[in-house]
Amino acid sequence: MISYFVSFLIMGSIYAMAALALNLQWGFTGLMNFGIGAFYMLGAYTSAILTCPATTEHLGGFGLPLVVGFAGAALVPGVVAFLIGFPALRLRGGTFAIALLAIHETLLLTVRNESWLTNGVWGIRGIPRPFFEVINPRHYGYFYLIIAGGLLILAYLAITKSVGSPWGRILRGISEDEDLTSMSGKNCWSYKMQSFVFGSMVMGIAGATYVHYTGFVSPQVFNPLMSTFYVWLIVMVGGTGNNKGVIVGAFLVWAIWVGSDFLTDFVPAAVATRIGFIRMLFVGIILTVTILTRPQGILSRKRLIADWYR
Amino acid sequence: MSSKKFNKGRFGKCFLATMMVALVFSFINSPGYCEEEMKIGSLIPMSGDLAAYGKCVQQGVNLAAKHINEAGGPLNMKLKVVFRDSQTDPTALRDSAEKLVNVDKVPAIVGPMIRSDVATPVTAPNHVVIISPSNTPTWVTTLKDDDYTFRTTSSDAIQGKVLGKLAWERNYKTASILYINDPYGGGLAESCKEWFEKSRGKILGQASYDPGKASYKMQLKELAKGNPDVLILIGYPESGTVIIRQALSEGLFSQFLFPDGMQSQQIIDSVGGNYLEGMYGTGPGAAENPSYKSYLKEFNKVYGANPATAYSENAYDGVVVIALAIQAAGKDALKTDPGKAIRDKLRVVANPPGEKIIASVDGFRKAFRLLAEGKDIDYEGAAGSIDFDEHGDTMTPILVWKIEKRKIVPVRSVIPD
Repeated sequence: MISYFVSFLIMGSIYAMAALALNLQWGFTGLMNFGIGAFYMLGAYTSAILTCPATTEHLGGFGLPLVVGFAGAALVPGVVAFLIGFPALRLRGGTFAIALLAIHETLLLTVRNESWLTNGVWGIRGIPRPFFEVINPRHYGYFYLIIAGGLLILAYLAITKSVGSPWGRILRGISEDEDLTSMSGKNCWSYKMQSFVFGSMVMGIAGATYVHYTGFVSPQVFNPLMSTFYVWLIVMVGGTGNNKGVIVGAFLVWAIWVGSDFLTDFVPAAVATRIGFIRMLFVGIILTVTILTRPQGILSRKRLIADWYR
Repeated sequence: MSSKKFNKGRFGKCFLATMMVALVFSFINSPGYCEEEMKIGSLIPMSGDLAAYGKCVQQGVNLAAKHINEAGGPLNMKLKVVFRDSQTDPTALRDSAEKLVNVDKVPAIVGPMIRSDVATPVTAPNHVVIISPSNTPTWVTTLKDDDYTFRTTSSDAIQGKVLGKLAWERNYKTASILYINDPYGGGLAESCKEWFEKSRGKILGQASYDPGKASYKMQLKELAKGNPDVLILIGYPESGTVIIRQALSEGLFSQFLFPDGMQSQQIIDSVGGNYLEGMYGTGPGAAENPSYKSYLKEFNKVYGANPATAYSENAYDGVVVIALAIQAAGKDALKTDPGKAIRDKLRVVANPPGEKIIASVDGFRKAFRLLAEGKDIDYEGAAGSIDFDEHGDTMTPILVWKIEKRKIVPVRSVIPD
């Protein structure tokens, strides 16, 4: 029982990390990133390939320590985000979102088809889990929760500190009125790029946390629904522009997503077969109720700059 | 300044509330210990891409539980199956496996339909047996699973062997393979190629395709280079039909060979005409097996129709061998480490030697009696003989079929050596 709760907390933390990163990009900077899954995936695969023992199935055999894996998982998405940023950040709002969605799809297809690199659709198995040999496997979750929770706290502190700094104020300025910020003499493009790269790195680390927990990764994990739109749902429900709200949202949405399965035990067998669709219904209802009653999310954002001028 | 209203207290409260909701969810079905009930799990996709398969497999599982309970149940306990949805998604699959292992605390699971490798890291360290009804890829054989991972279906290596040899028997000297880009397609293509080449055939081209595209002419033109005798098309009916039509209309291929994924009346009807007359294919098949006949009869009686998709009989067998293994293990072994006890008895009840057991209520009654007397049994499943080898794999027979008068007709059942 408690073990399951621990595994729930771990997955919640991983999603919370990705959601925090999106919050930095969307909530604070106004970048509509519809390609979260791409950076999440890059982080996951980078760390998996760097740390995996030798195999003939895909590129690998580096067997590097996990710390290097995590560092790579931050670096590669960061560099890719930097390169993508040059063309993509010329776009604003919806067009930026569509460009990122296309990039996600492109990278996903690459991972699916370049078997020499990623083992294609089969995915990578046997990804090392830190200290798995030392710890009783039945209690491994507790240990991993420390890692995942620790990384979540680090990500939270880093993002909260940065958005509270003068740097973060400019980001908020951009999200609330880009032209106004531009006119104040700030180089908006450069700030957007920094926020985009920073967020993508955190998404990459979330990906690495996922693979070293499950010991497994395949392209199916990164379908747009579960990797991109799910994270968006968290941010919408939790509270756009509010880091704590986003963390609450991550655990709440994951609780509903996986908790609805337990309803199977209380309903007649005929309905039980349809419980999967009821879950989708639930999620839809939550989103609708949130938008109708609390469009700002569970916890609301602080509109510093706009309020200042009011 | 409405923002002032929001302060630190809110976060704490919200966070606590969320945690409470989650905790309640996980405690809500605390297993009340019941002497007379034996719980096992079933981890199958009830939503997502494979929902149609999941529904049918669930029917097979429920039928098996019904039969086992009518026969008295293992160790006179009632067998209860807890269903968890894998959503056809690896993340959800893993979470559902965690639920079955840590919340429902089942010793054995029928499932998952695909991706045993995702569940194994959760189940094997916790000593939980998983028996997949349908996970055919070859790599399942070599998973690091402490022998806790089984399956009641053949590895793709077996069907690939039959398919490759069949191509040679049909007098095709050269062939091209077009396969769907997923673990099923890739694995089957590899083993089919291997056995066709071992039979001295020549593979001229090999390409993968993604489903749902409007045109596959590019791949087909590439594969038609050198005029191979046949196109071995490994895929599913939706895109498969499009591919066949385009191959025919462009005059690139006129001969085809199909695996189980294409064993569907749908392709014959949608392609139309007599273009596919006399084409051959392979699929899972236990054509002349008394267990399968009994299974079909019972399935029809309960659900009023034949199974809508494949693999329901494999799931049925999975539940049955678990129940028989529970009976064979005895109460004492179940108390200390139920998963291990079941694992150790699976081969005893499923493999020869021993008295043959047919899939029926009477058969199970006899099996329970024999096991209680300490005798050995050999379960002959609805999907095949169900004899587990040292990797937990089984050999189920492969059916060779052909298209005759616009219908799929069984030709013969091959029991691989």
